[in-house]
Amino acid sequence: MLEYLAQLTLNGLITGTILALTGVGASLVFGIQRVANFAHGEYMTFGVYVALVLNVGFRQDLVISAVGAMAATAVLAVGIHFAVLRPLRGRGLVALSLITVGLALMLRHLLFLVAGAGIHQYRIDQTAVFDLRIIRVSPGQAVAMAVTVIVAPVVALFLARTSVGKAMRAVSDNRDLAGISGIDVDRIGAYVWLLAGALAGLGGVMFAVVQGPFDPNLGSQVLFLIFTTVVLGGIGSAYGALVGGIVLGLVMDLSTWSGFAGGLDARFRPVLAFAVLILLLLYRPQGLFGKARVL
Amino acid sequence: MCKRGLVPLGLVAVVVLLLAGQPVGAAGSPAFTLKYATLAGMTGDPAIPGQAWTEAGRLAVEYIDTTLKTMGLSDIKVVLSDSQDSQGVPQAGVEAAQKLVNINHVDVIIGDMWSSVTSAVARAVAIPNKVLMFTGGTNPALTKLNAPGSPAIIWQPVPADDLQGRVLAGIIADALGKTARINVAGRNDAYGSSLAAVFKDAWTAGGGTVPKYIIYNHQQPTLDSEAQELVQGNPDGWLFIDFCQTFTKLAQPLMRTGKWDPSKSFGSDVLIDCKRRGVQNFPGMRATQANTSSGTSFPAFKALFEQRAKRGVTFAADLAEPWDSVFVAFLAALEAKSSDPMQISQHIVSVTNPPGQEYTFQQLDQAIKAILEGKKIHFNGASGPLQFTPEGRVSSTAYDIWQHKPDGTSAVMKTITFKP
Repeated sequence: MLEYLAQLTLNGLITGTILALTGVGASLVFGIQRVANFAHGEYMTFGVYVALVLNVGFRQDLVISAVGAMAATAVLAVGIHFAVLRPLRGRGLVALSLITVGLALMLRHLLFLVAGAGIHQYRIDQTAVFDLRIIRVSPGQAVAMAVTVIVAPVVALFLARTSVGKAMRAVSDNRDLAGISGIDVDRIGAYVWLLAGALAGLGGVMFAVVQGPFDPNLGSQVLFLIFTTVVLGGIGSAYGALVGGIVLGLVMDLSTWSGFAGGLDARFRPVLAFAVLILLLLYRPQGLFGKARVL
Repeated sequence: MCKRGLVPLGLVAVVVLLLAGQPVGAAGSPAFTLKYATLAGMTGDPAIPGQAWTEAGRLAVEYIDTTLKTMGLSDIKVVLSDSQDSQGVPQAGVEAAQKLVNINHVDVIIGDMWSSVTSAVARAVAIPNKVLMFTGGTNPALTKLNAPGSPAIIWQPVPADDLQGRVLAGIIADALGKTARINVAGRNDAYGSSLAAVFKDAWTAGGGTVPKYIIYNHQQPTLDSEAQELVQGNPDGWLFIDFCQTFTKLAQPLMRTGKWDPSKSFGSDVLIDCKRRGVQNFPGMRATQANTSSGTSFPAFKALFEQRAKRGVTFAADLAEPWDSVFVAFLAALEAKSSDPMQISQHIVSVTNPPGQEYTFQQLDQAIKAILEGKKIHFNGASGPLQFTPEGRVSSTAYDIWQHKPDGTSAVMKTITFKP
């Protein structure tokens, strides 16, 4: 029983760290650029396929493939920002968010056209495990958790301690005032997309490492869970995305434990995730680490 | 004009009017254009089999068209109006089907392959518009959508899951004993939940137990917790109901638990050969599928498909289903002398059951000639004798048992006849 509970807790942490890692980038864009980027899942998927080409096509190891995915996705994100989103900024933030829905569909079908609908996997052994007596974890899962635990605080420190990070937070607080005080708002916007794209690429690769088989629907399948993580943790907060993701992951996985009145039926796990979100927002609308705002 | 001239003129007019009311072509043969469409998931989870399904339908229409032209029957036409992608998603399937019916005005839809999509399309499009559907879905509820006493609209050329569930129970009982403890896992959709329920009923009725019964969302980021739950209690065996792509997402964490034994695992029809679907097989695992290759013309169909199908489309035995469906609809239309779906429907049982001279697609020209001469025919599909019932179901009950082999391939171990 204890072994089962320990394994479920680990599973929850794995799920949670993946949601956190994929959510950090979305949280930044949501918090600073005020855009709900519905194409975030497709940015992740793009990164996954770039890494696939490097890992399987060019026989590179996963580290190089992940770095390549981050770079490519960053370029994609910035490119779309300059080509589509910045010119349309005057249309309002709701319209921009809706435009990202169209972008998502377009990117997904482009990936289907180019990469095909078949299932792929990275060149890693998905059945290898570290047997730690009461828990078992695969090397890929361990790496994904470690990456998340490192990346989220690094992003938070970047926002808190560097000049660019502080400028990003200033733009997030008050775009007009930031502009008046000398911050190049447009350049900061580009940096935000660059960072968000790189994080999406990294998050996508780690997600694919943990999940195993993937196809071009990878990112879209978890997009709403990612948004749930972002809102739960507090929009714009990297630490919030980390904690929010872990909370969600643990809730979803531990809910199936038979010790909790027989355990929740597995198919209701996503329902529980949204139920937790709703309950939290009722009492803390800004999320765990978000700042209360008056609109 | 004098009155005497009016009588023969009137007679000619009457004959012309009579002929105009009855589509009759050259030499007294019927005249109609039968419009087909294919509907299958060509992207997403069902992409690989969906593209093959579409191709099988296209080749069948092309074969009939060529035969008709060779026979000089220019007044009888078959057309593949369009092929639409349902993406394996009910909503997309309904939108696609609406286009096929409202824009292309098709008479027969060959598809969808999936029960969930078929169910949605049947309710929203096919039944209200009285367009025939030949589905690859195996949910027994599909043919129950046909209104009793009316010509069936939904036709199921593959035995439904209420048979498959009982077949699985029988196979597992033979392998592991009828009182074995079997954990069941099924994907959360019309196919998975329905088949899992049928199996559970059949299994527990026979004295077995199902300690863990898990219906999971295959779109979850990870299925590690489901895998963990499935190995709890050291069951005697497992049954999985899923498609290969998402089953692999569950199977890999199962292997990581160290407690899963594929040789004690059984799968539903779509798990017979996952390597062919682009993922891996799990040596020792067994799965069952309705036998769709027992027809005498199956080798010829296979050869034709491999020769003429588009590059990159992989052959599978179950492609005989869309293939046969096209021929059945055509021959029924020919017997009905009409492309009207409701009239076609009333002749499907006739052309697929005895009595009558037996024909396969290889003798299509002879079958056409026989029908035009007013003779009764009995069409046997490449999948085997179809013998449709008026409710839209087939009554053939042979099942193949497949096993994943140590070299990663999969092959049929045995074919059994199931007596309901």
